[in-house]
Amino acid sequence: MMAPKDKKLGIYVHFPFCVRKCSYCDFYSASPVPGLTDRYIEILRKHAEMLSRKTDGYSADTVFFGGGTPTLAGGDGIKRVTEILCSNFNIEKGAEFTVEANPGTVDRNMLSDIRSAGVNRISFGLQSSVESELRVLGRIHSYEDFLRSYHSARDAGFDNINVDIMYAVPGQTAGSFASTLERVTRLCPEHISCYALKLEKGTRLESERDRYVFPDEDSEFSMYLSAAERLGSAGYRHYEISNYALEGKECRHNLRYWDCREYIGLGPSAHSFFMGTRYGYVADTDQYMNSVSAGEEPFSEYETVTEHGLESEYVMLRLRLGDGISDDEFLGRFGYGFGSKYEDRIKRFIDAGMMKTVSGRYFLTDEGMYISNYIISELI
Amino acid sequence: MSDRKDHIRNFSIVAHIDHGKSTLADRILERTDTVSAREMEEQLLDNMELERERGITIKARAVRLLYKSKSGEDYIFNLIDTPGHVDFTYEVSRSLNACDGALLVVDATQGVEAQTLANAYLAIDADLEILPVINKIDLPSSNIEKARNEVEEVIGIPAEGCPVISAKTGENVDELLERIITDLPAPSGDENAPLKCLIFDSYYDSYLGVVVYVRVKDGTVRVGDRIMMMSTGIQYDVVEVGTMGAFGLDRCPELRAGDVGFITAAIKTIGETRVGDTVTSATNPASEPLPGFKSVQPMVYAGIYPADGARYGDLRDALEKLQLNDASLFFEAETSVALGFGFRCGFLGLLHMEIIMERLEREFNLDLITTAPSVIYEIKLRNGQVLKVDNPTNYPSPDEIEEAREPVVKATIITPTEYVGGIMDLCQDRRGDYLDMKYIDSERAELHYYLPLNEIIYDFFDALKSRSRGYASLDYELAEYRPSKLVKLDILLNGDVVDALSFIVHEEKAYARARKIAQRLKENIPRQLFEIPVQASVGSKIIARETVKALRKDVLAKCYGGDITRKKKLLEKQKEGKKRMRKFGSVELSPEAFMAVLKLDEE
Repeated sequence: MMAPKDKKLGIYVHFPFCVRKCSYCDFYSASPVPGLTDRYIEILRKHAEMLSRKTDGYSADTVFFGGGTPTLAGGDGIKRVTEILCSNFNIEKGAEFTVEANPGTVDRNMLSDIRSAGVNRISFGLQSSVESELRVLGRIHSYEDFLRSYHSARDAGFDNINVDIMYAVPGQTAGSFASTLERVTRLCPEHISCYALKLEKGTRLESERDRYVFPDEDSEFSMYLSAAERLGSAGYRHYEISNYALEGKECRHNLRYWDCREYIGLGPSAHSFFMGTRYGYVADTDQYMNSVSAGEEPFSEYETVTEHGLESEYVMLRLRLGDGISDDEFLGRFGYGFGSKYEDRIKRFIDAGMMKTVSGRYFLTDEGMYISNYIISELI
Repeated sequence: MSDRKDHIRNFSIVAHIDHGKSTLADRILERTDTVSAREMEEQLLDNMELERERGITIKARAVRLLYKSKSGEDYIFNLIDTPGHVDFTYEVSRSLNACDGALLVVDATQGVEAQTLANAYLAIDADLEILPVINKIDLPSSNIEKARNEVEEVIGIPAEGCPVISAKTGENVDELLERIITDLPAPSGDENAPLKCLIFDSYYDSYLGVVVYVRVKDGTVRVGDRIMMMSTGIQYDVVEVGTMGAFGLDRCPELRAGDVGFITAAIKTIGETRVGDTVTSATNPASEPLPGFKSVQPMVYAGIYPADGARYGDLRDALEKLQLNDASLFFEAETSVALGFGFRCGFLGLLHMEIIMERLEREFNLDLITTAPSVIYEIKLRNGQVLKVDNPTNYPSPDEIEEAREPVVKATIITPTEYVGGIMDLCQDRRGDYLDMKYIDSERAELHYYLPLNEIIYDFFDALKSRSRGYASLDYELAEYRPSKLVKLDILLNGDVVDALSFIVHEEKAYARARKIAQRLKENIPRQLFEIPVQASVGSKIIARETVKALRKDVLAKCYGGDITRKKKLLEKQKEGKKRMRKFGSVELSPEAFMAVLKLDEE
């Protein structure tokens, strides 16, 4: 059985330019060249036109403009992208439309412009409120910059804001992380993403790892738990391993990923899950632009998901969520209950307090989420 | 006709490892026109891949060479190769008994070493005429005079005027061939006496059955003869006899006293043709067998298990195939609570074990788990019964034991004098009993120790090499069983004894060994759902303890649109990895981690 044909889509647009690459970042990005942004947006237009036919009959209920640094496109650029999407896809009224913003790259005017263009959710990459940690991470902004940007967004009318923060940063302590948590919760954003720093191959931080002292497994774990606890008591629900939201403010676009629902991506390195196939585009802006202008889709990977593969993905992704897996929904999708099929394998995790089952739902506890690879690899 | 025997020379080449035995054999094959250089794969006599790689000879082989001497006469040379390692001493001695003479090859850059000495003594014991050969004279660091003096002083055989050669370049090898005729004796024996053939090797061939390599000491054996193995009394009809050509078997109608050749007689298993046994005529048997026959007993035992339990059958097939050509390999099925179904295997020694393990992994593509190697202990119980225990699992409880005895070997170590102190410390540490020490010359010493075999089978050889920068050499032979204060050390994971990790150790060593194993386990056990206590105990007494903390983190923090396929593959890989895990009670351990724990190298 394939993904349910709700005929709804999420749309992801990648903006592959950054002022400077952060030391921990392994996403695809390049330095902006004057004039390139305009050309890139024209390529996005062409690509959207190509995809428009493919997605005939679908409506999009989420749009996510990520990067890179989408805000480098400026208010005008973002507006143009919005218009491109609206004229090629059936974007629902009330669709969630998120733009990722680097605190050093936005001001009040720009935020007002994009708000009036239809953007209704801003995601700020703060990472830390501690200057020394921001420096280690190679961020271009200060905590002050972030505060200014955040308040400007509120002033511009944004009532759905996410703030990204990080733990397990070199030099970070339980105390410094607690102060970042404290400052951020006091601002009352609707959504907080809280990520463990992961050393990715090929990043600056990874190549310089010997210069830094990283928190060990146990202190990282206690930072994770302290976030779950602090944010929980401030009214944020731990709805995904690294995501917390006030009731009803979960990121609907990201939930599509974790619920095995369809989405299409535009831009280099963007991925899609559409009509039972997962595919990705080349992570190179020039190649991407050349292919699209020649009328071709620049695939770099392409995999038709099998029935069994889809079930594995569903288990893997849904167990990231605080809601976990509903027996009824699982039955509806795969023809048998999750509990009856996985009973033997999940028993030890339930006994160990890593998993819980409440009224037909199976979900990982906070502790269980943090060893979810271990658990999921026994289930798939 | 004595003229026939006068033109036969049966000889071996003996040497310390790496002193150039195989290279010399190649050169002799070339120079006798038996094999042209073009035809010859390097080191033809060592025909197993593993042998070639390790540069050692595992099993004896023989080849018949034709040589035209400078005076124009035709000679037959039977070159009998011998295994070159301490584990195969008995087989070496039988091969030597098939000869009348031996070339003792000494590396001119190294001089006499432990195995030079050991092999020379074996040759002397076999009453062989020994012709020393100084090799590697092409190397700048060679010292011919020194090597010669050592042969005379240390071994006590004259070396004045002995051949000095380079097997590598071929220098003086022609002269050596003439010296084989003049210096080594022709065989003796009576062709008309009752048949006595010494078995010195055999191998299994799926068409011919067992091919038995023999030296005819007395009498004549013909196709169709009824023969008998003297140790078992079992009789066979000879199907074929012949000689060993460089490229295969050459059939002939008969073998006579003085000949070296093969016999086939539709023999089904190699176990029926024991090395050292005497083949005689069933109709006119010899009154007594040739001396020196022993039934070879394994000295070292270990459990061998497939890393993937489903491959138990493959492992059994592989062991059966290896046993076809290796009668000294012993195995029987055993079951371990921790490791499942596997085999208890007996080996002549550690090298033999390593070779078998490597062949199983390489030739049969098996992934293996082995338990700690064990020697055979003799346990006298209070009820008077004596048990032989080669598996720690079967070790009786202390209150039943009257006396425990362990095998002790007599070890010969030759080392440059500067390392004597370190080596004596090592032997002391391994519960060695000092016997004596001789100075070979101002630079090298020969030490003799009694050492418990169970101290040698753990990394002794590596430790010896590391304390002597690789220069010390070792040879040993089983001396006796001695009473000893032995205890059984058990390892508990999460409170459960892991049978496959138990071993028997001297009381004094128990604490140090226990701490080390607990430490190793802590390092190698992946964190799991629960905290895992690692304990080592003797009887009910816990003597070491470590804790493996519970798994806290195994998570991918970010998983968005582009991460899903990669992440799924990652988790599937993790799942595959887990399939290989073995459950030890409630604790999971990969085969690699298990093996790492048993690797008890120094520090």
